[in-house]
Amino acid sequence: MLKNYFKIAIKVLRRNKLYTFISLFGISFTLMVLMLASAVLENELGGNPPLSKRDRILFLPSFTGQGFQRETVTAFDTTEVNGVMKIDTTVTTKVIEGQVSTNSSSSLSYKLYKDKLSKMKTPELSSVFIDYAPLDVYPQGQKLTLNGNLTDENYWKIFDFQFIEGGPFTKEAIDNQANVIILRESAAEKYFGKQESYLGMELVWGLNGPFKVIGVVKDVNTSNRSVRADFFVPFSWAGEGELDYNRLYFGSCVVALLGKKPSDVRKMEEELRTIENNLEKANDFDRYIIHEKDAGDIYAWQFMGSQVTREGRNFLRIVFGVLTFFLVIPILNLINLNVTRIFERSSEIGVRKAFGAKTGDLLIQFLFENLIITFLGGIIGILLTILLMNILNNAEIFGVNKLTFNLPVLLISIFITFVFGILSGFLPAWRIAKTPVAGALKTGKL
Amino acid sequence: MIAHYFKLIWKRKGRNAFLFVQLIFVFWVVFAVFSYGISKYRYYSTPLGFDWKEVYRVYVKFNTTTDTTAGKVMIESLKQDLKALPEIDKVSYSVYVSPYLGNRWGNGNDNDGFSFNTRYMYTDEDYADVWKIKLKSGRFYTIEDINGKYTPVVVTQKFVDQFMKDKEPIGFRFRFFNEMEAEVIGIAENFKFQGDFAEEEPFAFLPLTSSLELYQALNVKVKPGTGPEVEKKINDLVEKTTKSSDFGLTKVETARKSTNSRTYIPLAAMFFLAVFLIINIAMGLFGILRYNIARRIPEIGLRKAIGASSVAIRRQFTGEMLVLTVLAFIIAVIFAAQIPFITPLPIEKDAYFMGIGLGALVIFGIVYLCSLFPSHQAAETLPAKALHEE
Repeated sequence: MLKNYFKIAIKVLRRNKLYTFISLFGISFTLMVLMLASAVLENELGGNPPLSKRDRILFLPSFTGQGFQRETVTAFDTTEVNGVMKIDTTVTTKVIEGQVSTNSSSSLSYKLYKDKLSKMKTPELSSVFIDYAPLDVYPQGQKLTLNGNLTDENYWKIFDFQFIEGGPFTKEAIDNQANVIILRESAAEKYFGKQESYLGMELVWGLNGPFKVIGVVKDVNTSNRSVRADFFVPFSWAGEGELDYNRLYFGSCVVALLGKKPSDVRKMEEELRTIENNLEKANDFDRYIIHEKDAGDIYAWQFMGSQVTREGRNFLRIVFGVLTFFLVIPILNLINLNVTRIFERSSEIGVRKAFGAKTGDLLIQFLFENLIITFLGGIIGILLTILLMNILNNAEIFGVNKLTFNLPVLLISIFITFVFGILSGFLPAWRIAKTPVAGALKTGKL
Repeated sequence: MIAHYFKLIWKRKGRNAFLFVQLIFVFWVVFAVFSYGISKYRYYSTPLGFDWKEVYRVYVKFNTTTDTTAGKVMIESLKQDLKALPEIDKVSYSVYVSPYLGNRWGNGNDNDGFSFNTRYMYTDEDYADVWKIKLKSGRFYTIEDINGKYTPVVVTQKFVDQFMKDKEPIGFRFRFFNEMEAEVIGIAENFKFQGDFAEEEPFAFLPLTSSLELYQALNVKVKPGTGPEVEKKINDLVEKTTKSSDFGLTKVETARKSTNSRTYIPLAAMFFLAVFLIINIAMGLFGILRYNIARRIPEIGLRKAIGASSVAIRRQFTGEMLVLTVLAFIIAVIFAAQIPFITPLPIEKDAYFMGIGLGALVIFGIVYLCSLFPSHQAAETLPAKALHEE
């Protein structure tokens, strides 16, 4: 029976080429846009390496110290000592709770990590790193700007980078400030030119001298700053400013916490609140806030919100809202087109109904037909998406991030196509199926 | 006549409902895209006030713990050494605020009855030469100015327009910071430093003081035709002098490209989507109209038989479409016009209303074009044939 429906659907498509073209154009372009959007989101938030454990990771990118307004209260106290009036004045400074007058923010300091965060109980692992260390190099006389990341050994356990060759830093390499470096594939290729193996080659990191390559990792496709560096060096190479204990809690480090299971994230947040409250107050700061974010919040931060807010959920809500709105117009267009064309089929409907077909049968038939054309559009849409991805990747619209059409994207695409087919096909199919027999037979021409 | 079209549309309301809703949605999309585009275009078409070509920016960090005299010597000698390079035209120091950088410093005050709120930066006396900042009147400060009682400042015309409407700007004295008295000695035409697509804000140039911490960036103008080899030379020289690799060199042209791409990539994507939706609508309309007209052949035949001209028939069909579009436009505008009163818009109100106007024009144009061909076909129908079909 389905085979019959299929045959009919193809016949109908070929009968009126103009309408087929209009429908297919609308479907394929709409699906292309949706597929592209899902590919971008999948690349960023899909839990691909090195962020496979993203639902257990909390990033601590920033830290705020707040000072409250102060009020000076002078109190006079008179006492009589040996018949002489004596005035005691006591000056007290009253802190007005909640009235913020100074606000300072920066990344975290190494001291904060070492003394407090590394001793947290809930996380399975914690890592400290400095994700911004730009370096200009001149390998072939041409300038090349690389961004470095200074990492500890836990970093490589939390983020599952895919090593093409070599491996991560050992604890000894970090403790001894070894001159070793891990490169990202594309950075290695740009610096050394294309080679079979980069292990053992040396890259000069400014005045710090030559560094030996001990590992090469695959390129990552996320914009998350914590993992998208071009090169990695041991954390001990951080400048004195970052490690200096005198700077108290403000510094330039980022901390990542890994929970044992996704539900630990909540507990880690609670533990952070306790740590905040127990930090020793200094330099006129009365309250400290550690701003934690998950991978989704970090991504959304590029577009909206501030370091204080966590906008991951809101951002997704807005994206889905806009996409739905975008979807409405082509669906309406398709419904409109289909509904107008009902009468083309009225003779067929009349005959089928006269021979005993039920409304449900016809509904299924027409829905199926609509699904066929939607899937045709979907296939064209996938081809268009791959084409557009190549164009965007070559033009480096998303920087070095490359969009890929992988299995999750394909599955999402099929799902979107299916939903689109049902949504745009149901109303017309229902209208067709409900056509009264007599009328259909009368107006229809066979 | 129009009342008659209403009646015809109302009679076919079931069939027109989808088209109607669809038109409302498209109006909304087009309003949003056009007003955003217009707003950005208007910013883009205002003058920059400086020249970014052949300028390099070097972020530098002098070790300020060394004593000030040694530091000063280092700073001055780096500038002279750079100038001595044959490829280099001019060199200037400033704080790390610069065109296409994204950093901005602001200060506002209303001491002594003069209130202002401006962006500002510290620069040395060669800054205007490096960036080719055009002065409208007055002059840029020189070394000799700096030691006077009043700090010489150069403000932009935008600053004058916003805060000194009824005052003679040149020679005007005001307290810039609580502890700093400033005197306006020059007016720059423009300084739209946040990017080509940004709104120009009032701006003030202050002379770099003796505080070494403020020497944060080098602005280097190279001679025309200099290739990227000069980057390595600057790099080596800075590294040698500051004895640190904690600095970064950027060609301003590159920074400009990436700053601008943050505006035109979303803009291009929005236009791409809007164009797709419009094409979609246009083809849908065209298809539906052709179909509807094919089904209304008997009606056309009858009208023609009783003497209607081809022109009248054509006018009826395009008229019907346009009336439907006007109705959709009214509904769309009723909602769209509320928005500026409910939430603050990210764009100016007049750009928003211009966007609505232009968007409406485009949609009306497209609806008219789409209805032209099918109604032409309808108008050419021969009455005999049409009536025969019935």
